[in-house]
Amino acid sequence: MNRRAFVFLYACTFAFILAILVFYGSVGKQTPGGDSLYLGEKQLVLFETYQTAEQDLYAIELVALLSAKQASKENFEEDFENFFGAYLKKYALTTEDFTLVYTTKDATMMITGKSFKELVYTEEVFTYKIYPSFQITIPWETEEDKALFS
Amino acid sequence: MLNKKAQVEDTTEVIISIIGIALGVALLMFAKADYERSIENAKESIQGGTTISAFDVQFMGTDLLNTLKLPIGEYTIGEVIAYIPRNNEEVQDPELFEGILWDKWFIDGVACDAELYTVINEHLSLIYEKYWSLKVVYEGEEIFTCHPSDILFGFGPAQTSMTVPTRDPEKYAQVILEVYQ
Repeated sequence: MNRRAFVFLYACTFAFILAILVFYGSVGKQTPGGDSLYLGEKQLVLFETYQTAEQDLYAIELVALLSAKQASKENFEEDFENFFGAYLKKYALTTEDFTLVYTTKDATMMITGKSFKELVYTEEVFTYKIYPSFQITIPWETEEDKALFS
Repeated sequence: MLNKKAQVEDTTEVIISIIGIALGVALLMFAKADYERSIENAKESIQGGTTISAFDVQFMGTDLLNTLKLPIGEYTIGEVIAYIPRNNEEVQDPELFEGILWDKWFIDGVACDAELYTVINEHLSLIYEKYWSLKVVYEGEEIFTCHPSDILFGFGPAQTSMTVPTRDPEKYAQVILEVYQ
């Protein structure tokens, strides 16, 4: 090959190497969520957020159960909501944020609660939102049940 | 036909190209081998010489939550823990604390009895063998502890914790799962 032809070959080689460097140099930025320090970093942050949210949902269900067991039978609904509201302060929620349904059946009371206010978890690369809900059952013997089993 | 000089130049280029390709292939093979070696080293350093993998340590939060959901009699472990602060110094709920689940610990706190230990151990030993320890801290004091009697305290511990409500709406307890490696 003559020297002029080599100039074109060098230019192609240089451009090819440059293209490879540009491509691999920007792989991290093109990845959804941005560059990661190590494999799975973003996924672990996401998973830890799910864990935190799950723990909060469990705690809300547990406070509903504790509230139901502390409420007096005479004035159950009001007592339950007072206790439940006091517990919910920690999660920036109130009983007004929940739709509560009380159902008595077969000597048990089932309380179902669904919130229309979200719990929000804000991380650097995403925001996770979830509506808390719970369903608990406690023993509840009515006068009819007593008469039935006596 | 090419002249002598041109033929010599072509031969040189072919030789240089072959050497270049060989070097390139060797470099790529070295990069691949180095990447695999790095991953193996990372795995070994994280596992710390035990059979508990780093992957399981990432799931400790879920394991702790699932432990609290385990049923024990008419209660769940989380519910029982919610009652511990109220019964720590003096038993207020005898149906829950006397002769069913708990033994008074010889320090200021309670510990799991055989029944409760069995339930927790069946769940946690599948993953953490005899390296796990469960604690409850309330107002800065450790009021409950549970771990295998032959626990091997080693490096670490890796730990996770979660907040659990108590009978008092204003106060919360901290449940801590520790795993020694």
